[in-house]
Amino acid sequence: MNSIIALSLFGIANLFLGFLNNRKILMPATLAFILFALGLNLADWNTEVLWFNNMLRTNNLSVNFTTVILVATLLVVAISRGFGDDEEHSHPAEYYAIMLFSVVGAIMMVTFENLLMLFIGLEILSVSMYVLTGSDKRNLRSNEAALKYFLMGAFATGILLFGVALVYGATGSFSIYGIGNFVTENRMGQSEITPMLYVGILLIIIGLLFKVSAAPFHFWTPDVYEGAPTIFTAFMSTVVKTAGFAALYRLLSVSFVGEYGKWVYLLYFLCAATLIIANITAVYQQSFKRMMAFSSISHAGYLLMTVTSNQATTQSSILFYSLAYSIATVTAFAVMILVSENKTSNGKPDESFDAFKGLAKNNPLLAFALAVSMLSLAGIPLTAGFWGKFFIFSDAFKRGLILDLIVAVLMSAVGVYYYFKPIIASYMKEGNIQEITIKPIYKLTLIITTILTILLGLMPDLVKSIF
Amino acid sequence: MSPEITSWSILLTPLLVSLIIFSLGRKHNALSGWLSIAGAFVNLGLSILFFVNYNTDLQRITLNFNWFTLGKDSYIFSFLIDHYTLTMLFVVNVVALLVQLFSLEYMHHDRDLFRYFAYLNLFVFSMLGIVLTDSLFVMYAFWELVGLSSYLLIGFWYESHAPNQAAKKAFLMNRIGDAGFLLGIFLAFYLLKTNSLTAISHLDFTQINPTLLTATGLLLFCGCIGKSAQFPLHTWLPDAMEGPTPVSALIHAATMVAAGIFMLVRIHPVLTVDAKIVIAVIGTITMLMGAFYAIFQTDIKKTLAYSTVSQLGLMVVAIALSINGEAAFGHLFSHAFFKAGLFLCAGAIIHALHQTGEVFDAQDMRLMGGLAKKTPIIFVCFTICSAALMGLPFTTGAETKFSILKVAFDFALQQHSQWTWVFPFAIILGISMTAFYSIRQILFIFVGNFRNEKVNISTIQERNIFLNLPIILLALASIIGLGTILTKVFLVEIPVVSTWKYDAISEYFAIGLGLLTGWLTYQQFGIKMPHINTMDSFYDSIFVKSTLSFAHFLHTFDSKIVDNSVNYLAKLQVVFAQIIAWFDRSFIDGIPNGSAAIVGSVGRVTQHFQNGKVQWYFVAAFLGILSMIIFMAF
Amino acid sequence: MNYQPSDYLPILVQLGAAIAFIVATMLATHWLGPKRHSKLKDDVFECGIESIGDARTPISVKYFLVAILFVLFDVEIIFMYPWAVNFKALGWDGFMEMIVFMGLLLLGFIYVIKKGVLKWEK
Repeated sequence: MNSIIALSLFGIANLFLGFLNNRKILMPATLAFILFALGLNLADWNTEVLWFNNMLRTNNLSVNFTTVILVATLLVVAISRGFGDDEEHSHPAEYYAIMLFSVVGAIMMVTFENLLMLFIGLEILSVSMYVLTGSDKRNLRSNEAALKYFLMGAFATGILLFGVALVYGATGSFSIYGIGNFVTENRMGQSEITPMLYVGILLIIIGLLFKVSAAPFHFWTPDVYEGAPTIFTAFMSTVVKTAGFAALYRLLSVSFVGEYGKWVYLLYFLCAATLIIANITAVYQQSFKRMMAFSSISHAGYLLMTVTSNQATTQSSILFYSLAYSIATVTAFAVMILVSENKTSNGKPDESFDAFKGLAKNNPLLAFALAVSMLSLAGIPLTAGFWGKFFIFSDAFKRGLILDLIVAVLMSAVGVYYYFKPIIASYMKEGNIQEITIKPIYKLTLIITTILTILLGLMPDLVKSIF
Repeated sequence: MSPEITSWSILLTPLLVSLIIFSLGRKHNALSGWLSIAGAFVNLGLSILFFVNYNTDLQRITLNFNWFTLGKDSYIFSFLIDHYTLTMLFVVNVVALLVQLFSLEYMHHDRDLFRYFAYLNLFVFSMLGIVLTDSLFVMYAFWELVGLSSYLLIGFWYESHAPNQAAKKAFLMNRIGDAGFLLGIFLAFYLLKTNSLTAISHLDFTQINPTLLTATGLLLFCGCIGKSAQFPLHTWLPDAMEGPTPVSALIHAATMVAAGIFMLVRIHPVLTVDAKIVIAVIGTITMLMGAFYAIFQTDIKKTLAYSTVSQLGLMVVAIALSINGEAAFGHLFSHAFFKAGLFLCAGAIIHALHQTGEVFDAQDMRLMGGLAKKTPIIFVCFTICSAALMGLPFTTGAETKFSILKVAFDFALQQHSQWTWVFPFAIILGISMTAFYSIRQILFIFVGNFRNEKVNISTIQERNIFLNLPIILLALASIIGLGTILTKVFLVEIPVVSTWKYDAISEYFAIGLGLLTGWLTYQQFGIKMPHINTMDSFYDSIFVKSTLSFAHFLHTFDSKIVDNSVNYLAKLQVVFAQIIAWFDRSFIDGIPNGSAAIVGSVGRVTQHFQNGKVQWYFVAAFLGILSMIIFMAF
Repeated sequence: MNYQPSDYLPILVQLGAAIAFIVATMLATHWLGPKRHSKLKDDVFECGIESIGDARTPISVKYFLVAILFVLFDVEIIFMYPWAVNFKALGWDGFMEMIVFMGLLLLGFIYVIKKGVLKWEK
């Protein structure tokens, strides 16, 4: 909770650090800020407190989610390299500040007790992301992506807000526990539930599905991911996704659990549809970044599966999966940034799979990190991703979501095909990539993420016992 | 040493060695081989020690280590130590050690030697994981790792095209099988409420829905179809011969392909009668097909590869027909030695031919001949191992093959139904064909005149201890003497209720017939076997022609239908992806500007950005919402 | 809280009345007003000054920044009204909260000035 206040102030502090005319201190300062916030967050462990007139709730679940979000942010900031040397057209202080502000929004989304806080958190996060998506001002694709993201996001927000209003109308409460009690009591048979509640639930679910990019609301994802600067794509696909699923899970498991029978089938089919569409389309992609976008959609499908199963273990599955996925995704994007900047085609960074050709020859570390992250995303054993999938499959299994399970197993087999493309390109194709010089902190981040991926693959209990 | 420490150190030594070699890198290429051999030696010692201490009375030991807990369920990383485990540990480590010894010379000039040995150790680690584990989930994890390391090894010479394709094919084929295997594991967990192999072997299956149990068995068998190259996923194994030859010896003869058989032995209690029939049929098809293709190969390694496919089919049949897996396991054991021996011999021959310095296809048997004089040691060892493959007397293969035959006859006699006799006679047919192609292979390589004009035969020589020692040891392990001792120590008596009195006679008759026809065809046609048009004699009309044409047909069937259908499956997927992409392009992306007006003001705002794309996202989303509302309403 | 569809009738009536009013007034102006067209009359009204060129000329981004900032600081006043009305009831807590709020706004203002947004000539 204190981390929210701290991060807001740090964001402002970052803005003013920008006036110092010394770009080099920005990144270390931001890293320090995030680490400090992480410390404040961990200090809340084992305390269950309601804040601000029951608007936010801190408990171990929220601390865990906040930790995952902050760790992901930390990694993204560590690979940001101060946003280049373009004095005139880049504004690193502002980028870092907006990132910190958006993290505030993300944390609000995982700690909300009141639907209004969910809305405000979501808006803080989304508006920040619109700006960051368009931060490459001179790039038409970036501008277009920002506008698209904004239009779709605004649409989703409207739907979500409408849903919140209807639920309030039906239950007379904004508090998620208040709504939960109302729904459960009505299930018991005191009085008839108005259809308004169902429409409200449906609209809220739709609004959140937009944000986590589940089918059929995923169309914006590839364009936005491709258009945004890669560093913010990495941020978007980790932090936003984690926060979105945390919110969806809390809402469904606390407020609407009494109506489980109503929404489960909806998510059941959406989950299968998301998995199929994302994985099959990903096979067809030629651009690594676009492939990662579809990969992000497919991971939304897997996460949706455990949310649908609504088991006692669901929250820890989401946490573990988000962590494993975030680490691997950041690694993959980190390698991609280096490789694509090194190899340009027509003056633009080459983001196709061909850019990775022959990477292993002169850059063994980069190739290895990429391979490990791809294996983890594909869910090959002894990587963190395998256990992430494993926990989710076993949740789905306990609930008996057989269709989803079959689709998921088959689609993870399909996934291997496209996740292996960069590995094959970097290890088994001829190419002429010279040795890329990497800054120490960047190298350190790559090493840490790679080790973490393997370590969590060997001993998932390290973090699983906490979650 | 306590069993805990022993099993952990056996499992982790190869991983450790692999990591060390990797971190040392290319600078220490020369060291990597010796490091790896030292590790294998230690591991072999530990395995033998382990066997001596714990193989009393076939007891099962389960060692549990708490791995992690998930809510109330704790996941246990457990080792299952029994007779099978200990024997497999021995086999894997012995073959791995010998193969690494062989590789020292064979791979000597490769500039990525360290990578080779690191992969090899990674493979051994994952294989030992499969052997040691008690949990199906953990087995699946190692199962995937075996697939991965095999992929890396097949594609070791990644600069050229064919190994790459072969590696990809092997991995994807295995993935198809693995998807079924994973579903099987989930179904087994759902039905039996456990994934422990020990618990499964003590379960009472009478309470369980037999249809689902059959499905479980067959899904688990899918894993075996992939790994052990059974019909219809067998096509990856011959292609995998693109990898280095020692790798073929270790992975595609002795260990990895045996993993499927090993797994079937482990889950034997789960298999219902119906499942067993299906498995037996698939095994029979694989066995006969493999043997038929083997007849037609001109590549020395591909002949052996198809022969492996055939022998694996035989083992699968044996598992399906017997009340426990002993017979199949016995053949797995002896097969590991003689087939590894055969592959290493082939490797040594290829190596010797490469040493002459000329450029030609060193694996083509049509370019060999008369090598017996030049490479006497290889000749003797190859003949011994071939004899074991055929099942000639005084070899280990004879004993283990005969037990499978006895089991099959036992099964046929127990069932009181005429058609069950198909299986034993199919096995006899397979044995006959094995003798046929084996004798021909020996004749092609070692007898007659040297047929390659490019090379002066006097330049061919064998002198290297690293190449010869492993081959000699493997040959010794396949023949009476050392082989007998090994089988006596490691294998157990196979219980048979009833025997058919002509079983031995029929087997030897089959082998004899195979040898005779093989020799006669060689005499008559030399190396021009596939050209069946030119044949005009006795064999032509009676036996050979029908066999050959059928074999030819099967080969075409294999390359046209089976390979193609798998290709088509892949193509179908691509087509599907194309359709979705087309949908994406033409419906989402490419709707002309004119229709944007329908969508309204939002459209006008973004219109000049990119042909009015976003509005179609809105349409899709809106339709999605609409259908969801309709879905909710009903 | 049991609603009947008929309970919503007043809202419908209100909605109908509102739409009807708009439609009626628009139609009425069309019918009642005299129409005399001339070039001068159909020109865009520009405070009596002759209009030159197209209205859609690019305007300096600074103009938008200033406009947005004006809205921002203007809206802030709205928060102060309810606070001022309840000033006594809210007590010191309310005072501190408003100080924090104003402080944050002030920081924003300093940032804006230092960033040079308000410097029109640059």
